[in-house]
Amino acid sequence: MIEVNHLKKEFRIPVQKKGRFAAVRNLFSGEHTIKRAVDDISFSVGNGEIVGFIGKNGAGKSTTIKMLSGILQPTSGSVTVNGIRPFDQRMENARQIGVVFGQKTQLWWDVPLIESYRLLREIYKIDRDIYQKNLDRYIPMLGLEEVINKPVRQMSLGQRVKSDICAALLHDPRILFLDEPTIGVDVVSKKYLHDFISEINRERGTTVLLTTHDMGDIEKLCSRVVVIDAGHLIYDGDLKNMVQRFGADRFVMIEFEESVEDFQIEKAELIRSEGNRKWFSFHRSETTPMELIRFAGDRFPVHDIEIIEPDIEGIVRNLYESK
Amino acid sequence: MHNIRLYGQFLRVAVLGKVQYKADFFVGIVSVLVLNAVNLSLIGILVYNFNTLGNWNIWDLLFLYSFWMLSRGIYGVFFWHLSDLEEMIVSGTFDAYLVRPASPFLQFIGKDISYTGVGDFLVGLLGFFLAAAQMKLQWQLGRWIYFVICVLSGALIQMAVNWIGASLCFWTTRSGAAVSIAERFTVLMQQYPVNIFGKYFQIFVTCFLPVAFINYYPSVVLLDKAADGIRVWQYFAPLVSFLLLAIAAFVWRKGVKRYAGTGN
Repeated sequence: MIEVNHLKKEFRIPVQKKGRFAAVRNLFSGEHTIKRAVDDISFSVGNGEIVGFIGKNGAGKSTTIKMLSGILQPTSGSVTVNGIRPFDQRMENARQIGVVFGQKTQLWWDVPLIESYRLLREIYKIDRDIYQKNLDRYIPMLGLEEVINKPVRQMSLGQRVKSDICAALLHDPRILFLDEPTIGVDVVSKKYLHDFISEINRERGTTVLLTTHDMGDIEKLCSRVVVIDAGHLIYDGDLKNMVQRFGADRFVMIEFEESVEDFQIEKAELIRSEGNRKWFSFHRSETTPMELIRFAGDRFPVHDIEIIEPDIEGIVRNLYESK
Repeated sequence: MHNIRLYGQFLRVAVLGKVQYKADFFVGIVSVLVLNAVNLSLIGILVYNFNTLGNWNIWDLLFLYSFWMLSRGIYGVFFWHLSDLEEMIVSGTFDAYLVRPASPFLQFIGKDISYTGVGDFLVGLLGFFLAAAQMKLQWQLGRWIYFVICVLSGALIQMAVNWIGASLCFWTTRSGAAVSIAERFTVLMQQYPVNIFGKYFQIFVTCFLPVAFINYYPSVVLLDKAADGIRVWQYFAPLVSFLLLAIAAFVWRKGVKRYAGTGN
Protein backbone atom coordinates (compact mmCIF):
# COMPACT_ATOMS: atom_id res chain seq x y z
CA MET A 1 0.00 0.00 0.00
CA ILE A 2 2.80 2.41 0.92
CA GLU A 3 6.26 1.97 -0.58
CA VAL A 4 9.12 4.19 0.50
CA ASN A 5 12.53 3.67 -1.12
CA HIS A 6 15.74 5.48 -0.20
CA LEU A 7 13.72 8.57 0.57
CA LYS A 8 15.62 11.79 1.31
CA LYS A 9 14.52 15.29 2.09
CA GLU A 10 16.96 18.16 2.40
CA PHE A 11 16.18 21.69 3.49
CA ARG A 12 18.33 24.69 2.71
CA ILE A 13 18.74 26.75 5.83
CA PRO A 14 20.13 30.26 5.31
CA VAL A 15 23.27 30.97 7.32
CA GLN A 16 22.45 33.58 9.94
CA LYS A 17 25.05 36.35 9.96
CA LYS A 18 26.04 38.13 13.12
CA GLY A 19 27.21 41.64 13.80
CA ARG A 20 26.55 44.93 12.09
CA PHE A 21 23.59 45.11 9.70
CA ALA A 22 23.10 41.35 10.10
CA ALA A 23 19.47 41.49 9.03
CA VAL A 24 20.26 43.34 5.80
CA ARG A 25 23.21 41.09 4.98
CA ASN A 26 21.10 38.01 5.61
CA LEU A 27 18.63 39.26 3.05
CA PHE A 28 21.21 39.40 0.28
CA SER A 29 23.47 36.53 1.16
CA GLY A 30 22.97 33.31 -0.73
CA GLU A 31 24.77 31.21 1.84
CA HIS A 32 22.99 28.11 2.98
CA THR A 33 23.63 25.01 4.98
CA ILE A 34 21.90 21.81 4.01
CA LYS A 35 19.89 20.06 6.66
CA ARG A 36 18.93 16.49 5.88
CA ALA A 37 15.62 15.97 7.67
CA VAL A 38 15.00 12.54 6.18
CA ASP A 39 18.07 10.55 5.20
CA ASP A 40 17.71 7.41 3.14
CA ILE A 41 14.62 5.83 4.62
CA SER A 42 13.01 2.71 3.17
CA PHE A 43 9.98 0.83 4.43
CA SER A 44 6.70 -0.50 3.19
CA VAL A 45 3.25 -0.76 4.72
CA GLY A 46 0.84 -3.49 3.67
CA ASN A 47 -2.86 -3.10 2.98
CA GLY A 48 -4.86 -2.84 6.19
CA GLU A 49 -1.88 -2.48 8.53
CA ILE A 50 -1.73 0.01 11.41
CA VAL A 51 1.84 1.19 11.74
CA GLY A 52 3.16 3.46 14.47
CA PHE A 53 5.77 5.91 13.35
CA ILE A 54 7.83 7.09 16.27
CA GLY A 55 10.88 9.15 17.10
CA LYS A 56 11.94 12.25 19.00
CA ASN A 57 10.83 15.74 18.03
CA GLY A 58 12.61 16.79 14.86
CA ALA A 59 13.50 13.20 13.96
CA GLY A 60 11.80 13.54 10.56
CA LYS A 61 8.39 11.98 11.25
CA SER A 62 6.29 14.90 10.10
CA THR A 63 8.51 15.53 7.08
CA THR A 64 7.96 11.92 5.99
CA ILE A 65 4.20 12.18 6.51
CA LYS A 66 4.20 15.39 4.47
CA MET A 67 5.96 13.62 1.61
CA LEU A 68 3.48 10.75 1.79
CA SER A 69 0.53 13.12 1.68
CA GLY A 70 1.86 15.20 -1.24
CA ILE A 71 2.65 18.41 0.67
CA LEU A 72 6.41 18.18 0.25
CA GLN A 73 8.47 17.07 -2.70
CA PRO A 74 11.16 14.45 -1.96
CA THR A 75 14.73 15.54 -2.65
CA SER A 76 15.53 12.05 -3.88
CA GLY A 77 14.27 8.50 -3.57
CA SER A 78 10.75 7.38 -4.28
CA VAL A 79 7.39 7.23 -2.55
CA THR A 80 4.26 5.57 -3.79
CA VAL A 81 0.95 5.39 -2.01
CA ASN A 82 -1.32 2.75 -3.50
CA GLY A 83 0.67 3.06 -6.71
CA ILE A 84 0.37 6.85 -6.86
CA ARG A 85 3.29 9.27 -6.49
CA PRO A 86 1.89 11.74 -3.96
CA PHE A 87 3.66 14.90 -5.05
CA ASP A 88 3.45 14.44 -8.82
CA GLN A 89 -0.16 13.26 -8.68
CA ARG A 90 -1.34 15.44 -5.81
CA MET A 91 -5.03 15.47 -6.75
CA GLU A 92 -5.32 11.71 -7.29
CA ASN A 93 -3.47 11.08 -4.06
CA ALA A 94 -5.64 13.54 -2.13
CA ARG A 95 -8.75 11.59 -3.11
CA GLN A 96 -7.47 8.33 -1.64
CA ILE A 97 -5.94 9.58 1.61
CA GLY A 98 -7.24 11.16 4.80
CA VAL A 99 -4.89 13.35 6.83
CA VAL A 100 -5.23 14.62 10.39
CA PHE A 101 -2.73 16.92 12.07
CA GLY A 102 -3.43 16.76 15.79
CA GLN A 103 -1.93 20.19 16.38
CA LYS A 104 -4.04 22.12 13.89
CA THR A 105 -7.56 21.68 12.67
CA GLN A 106 -8.56 21.53 9.03
CA LEU A 107 -12.15 22.41 9.82
CA TRP A 108 -13.84 25.76 9.30
CA TRP A 109 -13.44 27.54 12.59
CA ASP A 110 -16.51 29.78 12.88
CA VAL A 111 -19.32 27.63 11.49
CA PRO A 112 -21.20 24.65 12.93
CA LEU A 113 -19.31 21.39 12.41
CA ILE A 114 -21.92 20.01 10.02
CA GLU A 115 -21.19 22.91 7.61
CA SER A 116 -17.55 21.82 7.38
CA TYR A 117 -18.70 18.32 6.54
CA ARG A 118 -21.09 19.60 3.85
CA LEU A 119 -18.27 21.56 2.30
CA LEU A 120 -15.98 18.53 2.33
CA ARG A 121 -18.71 16.58 0.58
CA GLU A 122 -18.55 19.17 -2.22
CA ILE A 123 -14.75 19.22 -2.35
CA TYR A 124 -14.38 15.45 -2.55
CA LYS A 125 -17.57 15.05 -4.64
CA ILE A 126 -18.81 12.40 -2.23
CA ASP A 127 -21.94 10.59 -3.30
CA ARG A 128 -24.90 11.74 -1.19
CA ASP A 129 -25.81 8.25 0.04
CA ILE A 130 -22.25 7.36 0.99
CA TYR A 131 -21.85 10.68 2.77
CA GLN A 132 -25.03 10.18 4.77
CA LYS A 133 -24.19 6.58 5.58
CA ASN A 134 -20.73 7.53 6.83
CA LEU A 135 -22.08 10.40 8.94
CA ASP A 136 -24.73 8.16 10.50
CA ARG A 137 -22.08 5.63 11.38
CA TYR A 138 -19.19 7.85 12.55
CA ILE A 139 -21.03 10.49 14.59
CA PRO A 140 -22.36 8.06 17.22
CA MET A 141 -19.11 6.08 17.22
CA LEU A 142 -17.17 9.21 18.11
CA GLY A 143 -19.83 10.69 20.37
CA LEU A 144 -20.14 13.80 18.22
CA GLU A 145 -23.95 14.14 18.47
CA GLU A 146 -23.72 17.07 20.89
CA VAL A 147 -21.22 19.10 18.91
CA ILE A 148 -22.42 18.57 15.36
CA ASN A 149 -24.16 21.97 15.41
CA LYS A 150 -21.47 23.73 17.38
CA PRO A 151 -18.75 25.92 15.84
CA VAL A 152 -15.31 24.34 16.04
CA ARG A 153 -13.90 27.30 17.99
CA GLN A 154 -16.19 26.41 20.90
CA MET A 155 -15.05 22.80 21.12
CA SER A 156 -12.65 21.18 23.55
CA LEU A 157 -9.46 19.79 22.08
CA GLY A 158 -10.74 16.22 22.33
CA GLN A 159 -13.98 17.07 20.52
CA ARG A 160 -12.03 18.93 17.88
CA VAL A 161 -9.66 16.07 17.12
CA LYS A 162 -12.57 13.61 16.95
CA SER A 163 -14.33 15.97 14.53
CA ASP A 164 -11.16 16.18 12.44
CA ILE A 165 -10.83 12.39 12.23
CA CYS A 166 -14.45 12.05 11.19
CA ALA A 167 -13.84 14.71 8.51
CA ALA A 168 -10.81 12.82 7.20
CA LEU A 169 -12.85 9.64 6.70
CA LEU A 170 -16.01 10.96 5.01
CA HIS A 171 -14.69 10.21 1.52
CA ASP A 172 -13.73 6.60 2.36
CA PRO A 173 -9.96 6.99 2.02
CA ARG A 174 -7.86 3.85 1.61
CA ILE A 175 -5.09 5.29 3.77
CA LEU A 176 -5.27 7.43 6.88
CA PHE A 177 -2.31 9.52 8.06
CA LEU A 178 -2.51 10.70 11.66
CA ASP A 179 0.17 13.12 12.86
CA GLU A 180 0.13 13.14 16.66
CA PRO A 181 -3.63 12.71 16.89
CA THR A 182 -3.78 12.35 20.68
CA ILE A 183 -1.45 15.13 21.76
CA GLY A 184 -3.06 16.95 24.68
CA VAL A 185 -6.31 14.99 24.34
CA ASP A 186 -8.22 13.94 27.49
CA VAL A 187 -8.41 10.28 28.51
CA VAL A 188 -12.04 9.75 27.51
CA SER A 189 -11.60 11.21 24.05
CA LYS A 190 -8.41 9.22 23.64
CA LYS A 191 -10.33 6.00 24.27
CA TYR A 192 -12.95 7.03 21.70
CA LEU A 193 -10.15 7.66 19.20
CA HIS A 194 -8.46 4.31 19.85
CA ASP A 195 -11.70 2.35 19.54
CA PHE A 196 -12.73 4.27 16.46
CA ILE A 197 -9.44 3.83 14.62
CA SER A 198 -9.30 0.07 15.31
CA GLU A 199 -12.93 -0.35 14.32
CA ILE A 200 -12.48 1.52 11.02
CA ASN A 201 -9.35 -0.48 10.33
CA ARG A 202 -11.16 -3.75 10.99
CA GLU A 203 -14.36 -2.86 9.18
CA ARG A 204 -12.98 -1.12 6.10
CA GLY A 205 -9.43 -2.38 5.94
CA THR A 206 -8.19 1.21 6.04
CA THR A 207 -4.41 1.38 6.24
CA VAL A 208 -3.26 3.65 9.06
CA LEU A 209 0.09 5.33 9.62
CA LEU A 210 0.30 7.34 12.81
CA THR A 211 2.98 9.32 14.57
CA THR A 212 2.79 9.70 18.32
CA HIS A 213 4.68 10.23 21.55
CA ASP A 214 2.13 8.28 23.50
CA MET A 215 3.00 4.67 24.33
CA GLY A 216 -0.71 4.06 24.94
CA ASP A 217 -1.55 4.83 21.30
CA ILE A 218 1.06 2.40 20.11
CA GLU A 219 -0.01 -0.37 22.47
CA LYS A 220 -3.70 -0.02 21.70
CA LEU A 221 -3.39 0.31 17.96
CA CYS A 222 -0.15 -0.81 16.40
CA SER A 223 1.29 -4.26 15.93
CA ARG A 224 4.22 -2.80 14.09
CA VAL A 225 6.40 0.22 14.70
CA VAL A 226 8.90 2.14 12.61
CA VAL A 227 11.36 4.21 14.59
CA ILE A 228 13.37 7.04 13.12
CA ASP A 229 16.03 9.17 14.67
CA ALA A 230 17.87 12.10 13.10
CA GLY A 231 16.39 11.20 9.73
CA HIS A 232 17.51 7.57 9.84
CA LEU A 233 15.36 4.52 10.22
CA ILE A 234 16.63 2.67 13.28
CA TYR A 235 13.98 0.03 13.88
CA ASP A 236 11.20 -1.54 11.85
CA GLY A 237 9.27 -4.45 13.24
CA ASP A 238 7.13 -5.91 15.93
CA LEU A 239 6.14 -3.78 18.91
CA LYS A 240 6.63 -6.59 21.45
CA ASN A 241 10.04 -7.40 20.13
CA MET A 242 11.09 -3.76 20.34
CA VAL A 243 9.94 -3.32 23.90
CA GLN A 244 11.60 -6.55 24.94
CA ARG A 245 14.87 -5.74 23.32
CA PHE A 246 15.16 -2.07 23.95
CA GLY A 247 12.66 -1.18 26.62
CA ALA A 248 14.41 -3.53 29.00
CA ASP A 249 14.10 -1.42 32.11
CA ARG A 250 10.71 -1.32 33.75
CA PHE A 251 9.75 0.39 36.96
CA VAL A 252 7.63 -0.37 39.97
CA MET A 253 6.50 2.02 42.69
CA ILE A 254 5.67 0.48 46.09
CA GLU A 255 3.95 2.51 48.79
CA PHE A 256 4.27 1.01 52.29
CA GLU A 257 1.89 1.49 55.17
CA GLU A 258 4.66 2.93 57.29
CA SER A 259 8.04 4.42 56.63
CA VAL A 260 10.63 1.83 55.79
CA GLU A 261 14.36 2.40 56.14
CA ASP A 262 17.08 0.72 54.15
CA PHE A 263 14.82 -1.51 52.13
CA GLN A 264 16.60 -3.30 49.29
CA ILE A 265 15.44 -5.91 46.81
CA GLU A 266 17.70 -8.29 45.02
CA LYS A 267 17.58 -8.01 41.18
CA ALA A 268 16.09 -4.50 41.42
CA GLU A 269 17.61 -1.11 41.98
CA LEU A 270 16.18 1.52 44.28
CA ILE A 271 16.12 4.69 42.21
CA ARG A 272 13.98 7.06 44.23
CA SER A 273 12.53 7.31 47.72
CA GLU A 274 9.92 9.75 48.92
CA GLY A 275 8.16 9.29 52.28
CA ASN A 276 6.60 5.85 52.29
CA ARG A 277 7.00 5.44 48.54
CA LYS A 278 9.91 3.77 46.86
CA TRP A 279 10.65 3.37 43.17
CA PHE A 280 12.62 0.45 41.77
CA SER A 281 13.90 -0.24 38.31
CA PHE A 282 14.46 -3.77 37.13
CA HIS A 283 15.38 -5.64 34.00
CA ARG A 284 12.67 -7.43 32.10
CA SER A 285 14.66 -10.62 31.79
CA GLU A 286 15.65 -10.86 35.45
CA THR A 287 12.45 -10.57 37.43
CA THR A 288 8.77 -9.72 37.25
CA PRO A 289 6.78 -7.05 39.04
CA MET A 290 4.81 -9.79 40.88
CA GLU A 291 7.99 -11.22 42.33
CA LEU A 292 9.09 -7.82 43.58
CA ILE A 293 5.74 -7.05 45.14
CA ARG A 294 5.58 -10.42 46.82
CA PHE A 295 9.09 -9.94 48.18
CA ALA A 296 8.20 -6.52 49.58
CA GLY A 297 4.80 -7.68 50.90
CA ASP A 298 6.37 -10.54 52.81
CA ARG A 299 8.48 -8.10 54.83
CA PHE A 300 6.32 -4.98 55.29
CA PRO A 301 2.64 -4.13 54.84
CA VAL A 302 2.15 -2.67 51.34
CA HIS A 303 -0.45 0.05 50.80
CA ASP A 304 -0.32 0.60 47.06
CA ILE A 305 1.67 -0.31 43.97
CA GLU A 306 2.13 1.02 40.47
CA ILE A 307 3.91 -0.58 37.51
CA ILE A 308 5.44 1.94 35.16
CA GLU A 309 6.37 0.98 31.59
CA PRO A 310 9.28 2.74 29.89
CA ASP A 311 8.18 5.64 27.68
CA ILE A 312 8.85 5.83 23.99
CA GLU A 313 11.59 8.42 24.47
CA GLY A 314 13.40 5.98 26.75
CA ILE A 315 13.09 3.11 24.31
CA VAL A 316 14.22 5.23 21.41
CA ARG A 317 17.19 6.38 23.48
CA ASN A 318 18.13 2.76 24.13
CA LEU A 319 17.63 1.87 20.50
CA TYR A 320 19.86 4.68 19.41
CA GLU A 321 22.58 3.93 21.89
CA SER A 322 22.64 0.24 21.04
CA LYS A 323 23.07 0.99 17.35
CA MET B 1 -17.96 24.38 -13.53
CA HIS B 2 -17.21 22.37 -10.42
CA ASN B 3 -14.82 25.11 -9.29
CA ILE B 4 -17.42 27.86 -9.62
CA ARG B 5 -19.92 25.81 -7.66
CA LEU B 6 -17.26 25.08 -5.07
CA TYR B 7 -16.35 28.77 -4.75
CA GLY B 8 -20.03 29.52 -4.18
CA GLN B 9 -20.14 26.92 -1.41
CA PHE B 10 -16.99 28.34 0.17
CA LEU B 11 -18.50 31.83 0.16
CA ARG B 12 -21.70 30.53 1.72
CA VAL B 13 -19.71 29.10 4.63
CA ALA B 14 -17.64 32.29 4.90
CA VAL B 15 -20.81 34.40 5.18
CA LEU B 16 -22.23 31.95 7.70
CA GLY B 17 -19.09 32.36 9.77
CA LYS B 18 -19.40 36.14 9.65
CA VAL B 19 -23.00 36.41 10.79
CA GLN B 20 -22.01 34.68 14.02
CA TYR B 21 -20.48 37.98 15.07
CA LYS B 22 -23.29 40.52 14.59
CA ALA B 23 -21.78 43.33 16.66
CA ASP B 24 -18.57 43.17 14.65
CA PHE B 25 -20.54 43.58 11.47
CA PHE B 26 -22.07 46.92 12.45
CA VAL B 27 -18.96 48.30 14.12
CA GLY B 28 -17.01 47.34 10.99
CA ILE B 29 -19.37 49.13 8.62
CA VAL B 30 -19.69 52.23 10.80
CA SER B 31 -15.95 52.58 11.26
CA VAL B 32 -15.41 52.43 7.51
CA LEU B 33 -18.02 55.15 6.98
CA VAL B 34 -16.32 57.38 9.57
CA LEU B 35 -12.89 56.75 8.08
CA ASN B 36 -14.08 57.70 4.61
CA ALA B 37 -15.83 60.82 5.88
CA VAL B 38 -12.54 61.98 7.40
CA ASN B 39 -10.64 61.21 4.20
CA LEU B 40 -13.12 63.05 2.03
CA SER B 41 -13.21 66.12 4.25
CA LEU B 42 -9.41 66.32 4.12
CA ILE B 43 -9.59 66.41 0.35
CA GLY B 44 -12.43 68.89 0.62
CA ILE B 45 -10.28 71.23 2.74
CA LEU B 46 -7.44 70.98 0.24
CA VAL B 47 -9.66 71.83 -2.69
CA TYR B 48 -11.45 74.58 -0.77
CA ASN B 49 -8.11 76.28 -0.24
CA PHE B 50 -6.71 75.72 -3.71
CA ASN B 51 -10.04 75.65 -5.53
CA THR B 52 -8.76 73.05 -7.96
CA LEU B 53 -6.02 70.42 -8.12
CA GLY B 54 -4.56 70.68 -11.60
CA ASN B 55 -7.60 70.72 -13.83
CA TRP B 56 -9.71 68.74 -11.34
CA ASN B 57 -12.39 70.58 -9.36
CA ILE B 58 -14.01 69.29 -6.19
CA TRP B 59 -16.66 67.16 -7.95
CA ASP B 60 -14.10 65.63 -10.26
CA LEU B 61 -12.11 64.66 -7.20
CA LEU B 62 -15.16 63.19 -5.53
CA PHE B 63 -15.77 61.18 -8.69
CA LEU B 64 -12.17 59.94 -8.66
CA TYR B 65 -12.34 59.02 -5.01
CA SER B 66 -15.72 57.29 -5.35
CA PHE B 67 -14.50 55.36 -8.35
CA TRP B 68 -11.66 54.02 -6.24
CA MET B 69 -13.98 53.23 -3.32
CA LEU B 70 -16.33 51.23 -5.55
CA SER B 71 -13.51 49.05 -6.86
CA ARG B 72 -11.83 48.85 -3.47
CA GLY B 73 -15.12 47.76 -1.93
CA ILE B 74 -15.48 44.87 -4.36
CA TYR B 75 -11.83 43.94 -3.90
CA GLY B 76 -12.21 44.17 -0.13
CA VAL B 77 -15.25 41.94 0.17
CA PHE B 78 -13.71 39.05 -1.74
CA PHE B 79 -9.97 39.40 -1.43
CA TRP B 80 -9.13 41.34 1.74
CA HIS B 81 -7.76 38.20 3.39
CA LEU B 82 -4.97 37.80 0.81
CA SER B 83 -2.70 39.17 3.52
CA ASP B 84 -3.52 36.16 5.75
CA LEU B 85 -1.28 34.00 3.60
CA GLU B 86 1.86 34.94 5.51
CA GLU B 87 0.37 33.75 8.80
CA MET B 88 -0.92 30.55 7.18
CA ILE B 89 2.50 29.67 5.82
CA VAL B 90 4.29 30.41 9.08
CA SER B 91 1.82 28.37 11.13
CA GLY B 92 1.63 25.57 8.56
CA THR B 93 -2.15 25.77 8.19
CA PHE B 94 -1.62 26.14 4.45
CA ASP B 95 -0.83 22.40 4.41
CA ALA B 96 -4.53 21.60 4.72
CA TYR B 97 -5.14 22.99 1.21
CA LEU B 98 -2.58 20.64 -0.28
CA VAL B 99 -4.08 17.42 1.04
CA ARG B 100 -7.51 18.06 -0.51
CA PRO B 101 -8.45 17.41 -4.13
CA ALA B 102 -9.13 21.04 -5.01
CA SER B 103 -7.07 24.01 -6.15
CA PRO B 104 -5.17 25.50 -3.20
CA PHE B 105 -5.88 28.99 -4.51
CA LEU B 106 -9.61 28.37 -4.69
CA GLN B 107 -9.61 27.08 -1.12
CA PHE B 108 -7.54 30.03 0.09
CA ILE B 109 -9.56 32.69 -1.69
CA GLY B 110 -12.82 31.09 -0.59
CA LYS B 111 -11.88 30.89 3.05
CA ASP B 112 -13.13 34.32 4.04
CA ILE B 113 -15.00 37.45 3.06
CA SER B 114 -14.73 40.88 4.62
CA TYR B 115 -17.68 43.16 5.17
CA THR B 116 -15.60 46.31 5.62
CA GLY B 117 -15.62 46.29 1.83
CA VAL B 118 -19.40 46.77 1.96
CA GLY B 119 -18.84 50.09 3.74
CA ASP B 120 -16.32 51.21 1.12
CA PHE B 121 -18.69 50.26 -1.65
CA LEU B 122 -21.61 52.18 -0.10
CA VAL B 123 -19.45 55.30 0.30
CA GLY B 124 -18.35 54.90 -3.31
CA LEU B 125 -21.91 54.59 -4.54
CA LEU B 126 -23.07 57.65 -2.60
CA GLY B 127 -20.11 59.74 -3.74
CA PHE B 128 -20.53 58.68 -7.33
CA PHE B 129 -24.18 59.71 -7.55
CA LEU B 130 -23.49 62.97 -5.75
CA ALA B 131 -20.67 63.83 -8.17
CA ALA B 132 -22.67 62.65 -11.19
CA ALA B 133 -25.61 64.83 -10.19
CA GLN B 134 -23.41 67.89 -9.64
CA MET B 135 -21.59 67.40 -12.93
CA LYS B 136 -24.88 66.65 -14.69
CA LEU B 137 -23.30 63.58 -16.30
CA GLN B 138 -25.28 62.32 -19.28
CA TRP B 139 -23.78 59.03 -20.40
CA GLN B 140 -24.70 56.85 -23.31
CA LEU B 141 -25.09 53.13 -22.58
CA GLY B 142 -21.55 52.48 -23.84
CA ARG B 143 -20.07 54.77 -21.18
CA TRP B 144 -22.04 53.06 -18.43
CA ILE B 145 -20.78 49.69 -19.57
CA TYR B 146 -17.20 50.98 -19.75
CA PHE B 147 -17.64 52.45 -16.26
CA VAL B 148 -18.85 49.15 -14.76
CA ILE B 149 -16.11 47.16 -16.50
CA CYS B 150 -13.48 49.58 -15.21
CA VAL B 151 -14.78 49.40 -11.63
CA LEU B 152 -14.46 45.62 -11.86
CA SER B 153 -11.05 45.75 -13.48
CA GLY B 154 -9.96 48.22 -10.80
CA ALA B 155 -10.93 45.64 -8.19
CA LEU B 156 -8.98 43.00 -10.08
CA ILE B 157 -5.88 45.21 -10.36
CA GLN B 158 -5.87 45.69 -6.60
CA MET B 159 -6.43 41.99 -6.14
CA ALA B 160 -3.58 41.06 -8.49
CA VAL B 161 -1.10 43.49 -6.88
CA ASN B 162 -1.91 42.14 -3.43
CA TRP B 163 -1.91 38.57 -4.72
CA ILE B 164 1.63 39.04 -6.04
CA GLY B 165 2.65 40.65 -2.77
CA ALA B 166 1.14 37.83 -0.71
CA SER B 167 2.78 35.18 -2.91
CA LEU B 168 6.19 36.61 -2.05
CA CYS B 169 5.68 35.00 1.38
CA PHE B 170 6.53 31.69 -0.25
CA TRP B 171 10.09 32.99 -0.69
CA THR B 172 10.68 35.31 2.24
CA THR B 173 8.09 34.06 4.75
CA ARG B 174 7.96 37.65 6.02
CA SER B 175 6.79 39.87 3.19
CA GLY B 176 4.08 41.59 5.18
CA ALA B 177 6.09 44.80 5.58
CA ALA B 178 6.62 45.21 1.83
CA VAL B 179 2.97 44.53 1.12
CA SER B 180 1.76 47.06 3.66
CA ILE B 181 4.09 49.75 2.25
CA ALA B 182 2.68 49.09 -1.24
CA GLU B 183 -0.82 49.24 0.22
CA ARG B 184 -0.21 52.57 1.97
CA PHE B 185 1.33 53.97 -1.17
CA THR B 186 -1.71 52.95 -3.19
CA VAL B 187 -4.13 54.34 -0.63
CA LEU B 188 -2.32 57.68 -0.60
CA MET B 189 -2.18 58.16 -4.34
CA GLN B 190 -5.65 56.95 -5.28
CA GLN B 191 -7.16 59.98 -3.60
CA TYR B 192 -5.50 62.46 -5.95
CA PRO B 193 -5.20 62.82 -9.71
CA VAL B 194 -1.88 61.27 -10.70
CA ASN B 195 -0.83 64.16 -12.96
CA ILE B 196 -0.30 66.49 -9.99
CA PHE B 197 2.62 64.34 -8.80
CA GLY B 198 4.82 64.92 -11.85
CA LYS B 199 6.00 62.99 -14.84
CA TYR B 200 8.26 60.35 -13.31
CA PHE B 201 5.72 59.36 -10.74
CA GLN B 202 3.13 59.08 -13.46
CA ILE B 203 5.37 56.77 -15.49
CA PHE B 204 5.99 54.65 -12.41
CA VAL B 205 2.31 54.12 -11.56
CA THR B 206 1.46 53.54 -15.22
CA CYS B 207 4.16 51.13 -16.29
CA PHE B 208 5.74 49.56 -13.23
CA LEU B 209 3.13 49.41 -10.53
CA PRO B 210 0.14 50.16 -12.75
CA VAL B 211 -2.20 51.30 -10.01
CA ALA B 212 -3.07 54.42 -12.01
CA PHE B 213 -5.35 52.14 -14.03
CA ILE B 214 -7.51 51.46 -10.99
CA ASN B 215 -9.29 54.80 -11.04
CA TYR B 216 -7.16 57.54 -12.59
CA TYR B 217 -7.15 56.60 -16.29
CA PRO B 218 -10.77 55.41 -16.33
CA SER B 219 -11.74 58.75 -14.76
CA VAL B 220 -9.62 60.68 -17.28
CA VAL B 221 -11.48 58.90 -20.06
CA LEU B 222 -14.95 59.17 -18.54
CA LEU B 223 -14.58 62.84 -17.53
CA ASP B 224 -12.56 63.92 -20.59
CA LYS B 225 -9.69 65.17 -18.49
CA ALA B 226 -6.85 64.66 -20.96
CA ALA B 227 -5.54 68.08 -21.97
CA ASP B 228 -4.39 67.03 -25.43
CA GLY B 229 -6.92 64.34 -26.29
CA ILE B 230 -7.31 60.82 -24.94
CA ARG B 231 -4.80 58.26 -26.13
CA VAL B 232 -5.80 54.70 -26.87
CA TRP B 233 -3.76 53.13 -24.09
CA GLN B 234 -5.64 55.18 -21.53
CA TYR B 235 -8.63 52.92 -22.22
CA PHE B 236 -6.59 49.86 -21.29
CA ALA B 237 -7.60 49.34 -17.66
CA PRO B 238 -9.36 45.98 -18.31
CA LEU B 239 -6.37 44.72 -20.31
CA VAL B 240 -3.97 45.77 -17.57
CA SER B 241 -6.04 43.88 -15.02
CA PHE B 242 -5.86 40.66 -17.08
CA LEU B 243 -2.15 41.04 -17.61
CA LEU B 244 -1.54 41.55 -13.89
CA LEU B 245 -3.74 38.57 -13.03
CA ALA B 246 -1.73 36.39 -15.37
CA ILE B 247 1.50 37.53 -13.73
CA ALA B 248 0.05 36.97 -10.26
CA ALA B 249 -1.14 33.47 -11.14
CA PHE B 250 2.33 32.67 -12.45
CA VAL B 251 4.07 33.95 -9.29
CA TRP B 252 1.59 32.03 -7.12
CA ARG B 253 2.24 28.80 -9.00
CA LYS B 254 5.99 29.21 -8.62
CA GLY B 255 5.49 29.99 -4.96
CA VAL B 256 3.37 26.92 -4.24
CA LYS B 257 5.98 24.81 -5.97
CA ARG B 258 8.69 26.35 -3.83
CA TYR B 259 6.62 25.68 -0.71
CA ALA B 260 6.68 21.99 -1.59
CA GLY B 261 10.45 22.19 -1.66
CA THR B 262 10.98 23.95 1.64
CA GLY B 263 7.91 23.51 3.81
CA ASN B 264 7.45 26.17 6.43
